[in-house]
Amino acid sequence: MAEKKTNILRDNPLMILLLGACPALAATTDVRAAAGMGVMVLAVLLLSGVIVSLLRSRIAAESVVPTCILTVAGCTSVMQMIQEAFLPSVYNMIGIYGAIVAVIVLTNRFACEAVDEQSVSETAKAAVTTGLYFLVILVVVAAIRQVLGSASLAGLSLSFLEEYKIAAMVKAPGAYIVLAIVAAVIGKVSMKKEKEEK
Amino acid sequence: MENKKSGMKFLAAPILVVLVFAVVLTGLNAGLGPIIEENKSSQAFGPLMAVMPEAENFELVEAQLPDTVLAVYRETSGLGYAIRCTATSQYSEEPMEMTFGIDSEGRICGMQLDVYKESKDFGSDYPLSYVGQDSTLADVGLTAGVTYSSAAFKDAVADAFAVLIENDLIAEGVKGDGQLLMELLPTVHSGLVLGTVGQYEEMEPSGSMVSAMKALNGSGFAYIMAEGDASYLAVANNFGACSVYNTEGVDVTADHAALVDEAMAHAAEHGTSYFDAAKARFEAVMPGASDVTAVEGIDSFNTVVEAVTFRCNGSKYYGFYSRSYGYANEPMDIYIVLDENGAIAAETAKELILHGEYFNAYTLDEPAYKAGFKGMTADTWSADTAVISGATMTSNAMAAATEDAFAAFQSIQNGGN
Repeated sequence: MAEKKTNILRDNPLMILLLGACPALAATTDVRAAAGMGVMVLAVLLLSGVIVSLLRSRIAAESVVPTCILTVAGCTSVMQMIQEAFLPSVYNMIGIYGAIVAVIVLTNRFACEAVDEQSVSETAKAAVTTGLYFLVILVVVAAIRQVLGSASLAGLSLSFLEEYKIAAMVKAPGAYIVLAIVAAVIGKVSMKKEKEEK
Repeated sequence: MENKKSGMKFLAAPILVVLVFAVVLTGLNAGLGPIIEENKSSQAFGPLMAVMPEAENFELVEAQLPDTVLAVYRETSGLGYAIRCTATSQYSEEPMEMTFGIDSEGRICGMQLDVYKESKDFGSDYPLSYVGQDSTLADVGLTAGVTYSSAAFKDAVADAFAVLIENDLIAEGVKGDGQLLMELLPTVHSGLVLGTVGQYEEMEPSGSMVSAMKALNGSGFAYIMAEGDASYLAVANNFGACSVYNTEGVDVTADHAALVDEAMAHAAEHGTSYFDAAKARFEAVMPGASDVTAVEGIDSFNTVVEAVTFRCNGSKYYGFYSRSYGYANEPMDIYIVLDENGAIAAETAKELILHGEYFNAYTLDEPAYKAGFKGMTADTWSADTAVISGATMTSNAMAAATEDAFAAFQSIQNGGN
């Protein structure tokens, strides 16, 4: 089990493969948006993974990709609609990037891989783990960017930081910088763990 | 047959997924659609509902709008109108935005400041002071020290009322005499205003006076005075001149001698003499100046606070000391010397750039700038001469002072009052 956790940490799609980086960069200007995006990705991963896993026996080898794309797109639409109805402020913060979840490699790759998984429960477990890591990383990146760039956190003003705001943090370069730092820290931790286990 | 089977299997899963999601999304749309619509409606009309809580719904009013009015909405049950406005002052980091409601009687029933990022804060009470006002905005003033922001705010609200009135949506409010008279002030005594913003302090009124105002730059006084049932505006300058106007802006000085006497007596009692300061300055500006004598009876009402004549190198000169409003609305001390033909012989300022610490990159060649005024007359004068790049307020003050000096000189030439 420890082996599995370490691998997920090291092989986290966002950190290592930079899959899903587009919405990760766009949604991390505010912790609430990041959390909304993270939950949405988690739900899409879980739903699409389970659906594809259930349909596994009926999917021809040639139609795996179109089936996965359609499933992810459908799940994304469902989640967007739920978010728009019950979390309209988060929906507005995420904006167009919510729909991008339907086409990012992270979700589609995961759905396609679900065809080869052993069972629905295993797929669901993998979806939750991947989604949770994605969610946590997004929230961490957003928290760093929001505190340093806007002197606030989830709508709460941190007035004592007002004078030290770094404007670049709320822009694209700031997102890349923070993402790179978080990826480096995770890389370092996972390497250390691997060494210890060896 | 095998191919057909294979093709069916290829299509089965995608078609199944499409059908399932079509059903799910249709169901979700039926269930969540009304909630989503309600959310959208409350987002769009949220600020409008805040200023008109009893409103049922709003619809956009199609009308020609000035830049300051973002949108006008009609409340569908007839409660009135909700308006979104924007305003920008020189202290704006980004434009202010406000929403306010106007009831069917044409009075503001709610006011909310949506965006306010000014370097000077006029306080949360200021927008609320508009509630209850009609289109005349009679009882709304400007916030001391935040005059530009509050004036921009007030102008935007006035623009919104103008839109409603022009489109026959509400009836125009009736201005009171006091308001009509105060609106005359910029045209009858420019020393008490900067643009349309009053630059005066209120004084204790006496006798026929309803209100008394003293110019912040010491250039004179204004009084709202009552005689019988009518109200008048009397203005006095530092040269013993006084004019009286009725609510239509007509000069009725000749018909109201008692009011003139009363205003002049008050002005004489509370006025400030600038003769000593002016004499010392003109003697420094024009070395060899002698016989410096104060000029009385000038009937121009502007920023000139003192006027003198003197002789220098055998010629007669006129010196005008203006205290027009410069940076941060503070009066500057500007000295203009005209020769007998009305041409500028010298023009200088005690401190050309007030608060120079804010002009770090200031590279103005002051001697050359001042020399640029020389030789200009009222006929050849151009305000471009006074322009200092990056110092608009100072440029405007220098231009105003020069024009006021020309006006005072003309008054002397015409024999004054």
